[in-house]
Amino acid sequence: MNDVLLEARALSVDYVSERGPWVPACADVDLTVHAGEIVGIAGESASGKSTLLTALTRLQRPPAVTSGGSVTYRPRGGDPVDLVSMSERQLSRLRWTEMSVVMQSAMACLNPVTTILAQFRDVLKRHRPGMSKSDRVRRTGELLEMVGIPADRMYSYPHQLSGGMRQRTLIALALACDPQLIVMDEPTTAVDVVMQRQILNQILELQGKLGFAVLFVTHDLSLLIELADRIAIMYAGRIVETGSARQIYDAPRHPYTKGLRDAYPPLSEPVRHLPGISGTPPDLRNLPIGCAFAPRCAHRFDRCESERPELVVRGDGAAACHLVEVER
Amino acid sequence: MTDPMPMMAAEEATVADRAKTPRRVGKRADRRSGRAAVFLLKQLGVYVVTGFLALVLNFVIPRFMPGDPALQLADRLRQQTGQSPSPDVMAKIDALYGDPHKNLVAQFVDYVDHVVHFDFGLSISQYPTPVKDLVWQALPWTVALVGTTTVIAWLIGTALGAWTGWRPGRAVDSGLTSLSTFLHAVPAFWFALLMLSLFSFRLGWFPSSGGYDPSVPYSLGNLWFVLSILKYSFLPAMALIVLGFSTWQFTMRNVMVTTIAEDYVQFARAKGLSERRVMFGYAARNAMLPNITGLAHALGGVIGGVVLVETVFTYPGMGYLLTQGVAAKDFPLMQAIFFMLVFAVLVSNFVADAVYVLLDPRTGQEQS
Amino acid sequence: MRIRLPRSARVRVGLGVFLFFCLVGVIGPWIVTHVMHTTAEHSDFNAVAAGPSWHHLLGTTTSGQDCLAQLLEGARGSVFVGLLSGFIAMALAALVGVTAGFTGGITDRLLNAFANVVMTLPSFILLIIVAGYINSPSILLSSAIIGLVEWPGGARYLRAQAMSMRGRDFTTALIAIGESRWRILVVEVMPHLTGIISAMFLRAVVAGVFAQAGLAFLGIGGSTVSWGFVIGAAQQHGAIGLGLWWWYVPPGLCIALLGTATALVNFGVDEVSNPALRNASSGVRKAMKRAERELAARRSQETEGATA
Repeated sequence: MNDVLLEARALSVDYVSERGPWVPACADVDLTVHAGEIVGIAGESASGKSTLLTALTRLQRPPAVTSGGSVTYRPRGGDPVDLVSMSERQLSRLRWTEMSVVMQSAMACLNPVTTILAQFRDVLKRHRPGMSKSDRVRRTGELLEMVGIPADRMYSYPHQLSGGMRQRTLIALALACDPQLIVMDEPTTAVDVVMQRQILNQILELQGKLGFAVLFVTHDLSLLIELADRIAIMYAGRIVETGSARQIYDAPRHPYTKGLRDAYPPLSEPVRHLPGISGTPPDLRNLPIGCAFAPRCAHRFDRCESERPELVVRGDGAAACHLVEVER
Repeated sequence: MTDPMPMMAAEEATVADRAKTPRRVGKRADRRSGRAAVFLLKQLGVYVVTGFLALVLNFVIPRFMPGDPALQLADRLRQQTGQSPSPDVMAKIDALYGDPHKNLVAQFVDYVDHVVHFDFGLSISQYPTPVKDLVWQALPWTVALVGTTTVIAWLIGTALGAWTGWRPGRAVDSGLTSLSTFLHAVPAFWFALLMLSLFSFRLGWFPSSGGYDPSVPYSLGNLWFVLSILKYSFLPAMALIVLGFSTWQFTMRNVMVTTIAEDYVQFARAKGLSERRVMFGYAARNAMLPNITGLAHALGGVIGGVVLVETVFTYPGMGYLLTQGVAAKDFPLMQAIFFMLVFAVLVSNFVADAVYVLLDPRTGQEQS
Repeated sequence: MRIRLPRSARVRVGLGVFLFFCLVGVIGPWIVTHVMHTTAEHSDFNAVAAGPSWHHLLGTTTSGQDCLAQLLEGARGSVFVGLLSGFIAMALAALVGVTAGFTGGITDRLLNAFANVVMTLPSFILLIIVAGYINSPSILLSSAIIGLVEWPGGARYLRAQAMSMRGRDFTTALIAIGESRWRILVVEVMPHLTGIISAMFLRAVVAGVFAQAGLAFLGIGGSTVSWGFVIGAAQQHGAIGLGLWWWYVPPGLCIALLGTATALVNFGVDEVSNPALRNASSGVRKAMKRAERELAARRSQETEGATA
């Protein structure tokens, strides 16, 4: 558990605009993922969590640019490399064999005009060049069955599968080349609650069996609390709190984390009143000088509006809130 | 050339044409072919109705035009031949252009009977050659010209569109797309005139009119005759290709740009596939679908350009024959050519639909 | 109604050129009479088939007519037919498309099938046939028949737009509070579509100019002077073989420029409605390049700072 697999240091991502200043979508993000660990990132939409993922995996598109920081990755049996400065060619050797992704909308991620088998074949051909044709078919069937899909569905086209099946197909595809890390961007938001439960259990089961690490992004904190070992909370492009799942659930330090925790019902608890967070996420083009959360915060005081709180380490977690500093 | 919105129409068509059958998961192959068959049948229905409408228009237009085309025809024949048309000929004219002694329904039945037997009577401008013979003579010239130039233009345009749309914003993209935007707006007959003046009159590289060298024996078995066809067809073909590729280039470019922003292309990159594989197997493979429907719907417009280009080069095809017929008010010839061209467009539309079914497994399916 | 200037430079240039040609169509003949003191038909026998000179800026025809005067006169014929046929086509497209999309059901299916059928017909061939039967159609009649064959593409597009409108919350809400469907259609839905309809109107205008030019070139577009008419006359009088480029090049160029202008507007409109296209524009690409340079500079500065 102690070997670091992926480590982001002071990572910043900006959206370049034709005229006017850049828009900071992520700023000074520090994040560590150890081998075999499940790390969760939670935040509202537009908190920068998906932007962070595309920067970590180098999948960002114009007008997004990584404007600072580094992402160190330790490949199997190799020296650590910096993903930010790597060429596309070097990267493509790491992709899928070391690090694979599962995205939110499986329907949109699967090529609509080729069969499921063809999409597995593409990956296997590229990264397992020695594999024979029949081996590839066998491997595809094996992977599909691993996520509970009958092997003969490999001859289907994406639109012929149900939403849950598509999402699980994507997970099977992510497992195809035994990666060390699977990055998941809201893999369960597009399916119903029952299916969500099934898929999460499947991920946990496969992770226990195969030992890959997971970086899981969602807006649903309660889901992460059941799934992740460690959790980072993002707000307005910055990490505002980190901690173990237990600690985030039992004793959140940042008022935003509290709000986020109370906004979604945990899957396994009785129904109760959900207070949520009032107000709307801030405009990234026009962030306040002080704490970005201050305008929506019930506990704000003068300092919150004049000075941005830094991330302060407390025990095995950290929080960026003046309240935490006051406690000290 | 006259289609005002090739791109929008194409995009919209791919969405709207999908039948609204409920999506179910089951045995795939047979159900897929079933849906494709339903889609093709629906399209066939549209084409049959269109063909019927063309038939009706051909019947109605001469009957509701100011002046009596049947009388005009008889007059013209009298002038041309110096004698009154025989009762036999008059009966045929009446059947095609309105017999004053019969009601419209009976006239229509008469008319359809003649059309079905492809009997459009005798040409007036080239009396007494049957219209049928003139059309059969001209048809292969146009089919060959339109067929080859459309396919070449489509291939060049789609390939260039895929290339420029893959990395948009480069100098190649800006240059080529601007050029296409301009060429797309150039009137076909004017462009043909420019080519004629430059390559034929100024430089003398190519003949200025005709489809073959008249001094060479007229036979496809004769190599010199075939070579002369290539030489004579070069300018009309180039005019159609240069103007044709531009439309395909910029629709393909725009669809490609939209497609590379799709999740499945992004996802293909994440899979570490080679750039070529992502470009061809994922981006271009999907982006070309609207261009295929576009091909089906553009043919009607392409034919319009062909008529003008053939006329400029006095190329012995259907288009030149049509404008000759129009100039001479040769109604039988006009009717026959209109019918043939509509028929040709409908057939090629149906072929393009069938190709589309092969390339897009979702055809006949509601999108989810 | 408030008039907003579009932000895209492409749209501005395109609109500018388009309006310029419309203006020429309106005041062109006036300039011919009052500034050039001539007519399109007047023959100057001292300068027959002469190239451009100070006296005849765009040269003369084989019968000594001034080509610039013909170009300006022709602008009116071409632009008038374009505008009128475009208006007819758009009115029909809006009527059929929006009604079909907004009403749904059997009306929709019938109208859509009808639009499909008309769209499949090769429109220019149909125009040639109709114009061929009519002896020298008037400018109004030409516009009408061109408008009558050019509407289906627009109708289908507007139908798709109206269908999505029908699904929106505000429409459902208005129906729920008992507004009449037609009132919603005219007062609430149509205004949402004005942007698209105006862009399509430009397209329809150019399609009309094109169709009229083709017909006039073939000599079946009536006797009104238009750009296509001038080119057709030039060809008939052997201008191509004689090398009198000043006779037939400028009118064709005007048509091409008008068409390009419209394409620019449509390009700009597409970029507004399609973020993928916008991000692919050369402006964004340049901004990205600038950003990369800046970041590289920043990085090298940092490493220098670290070594120092």
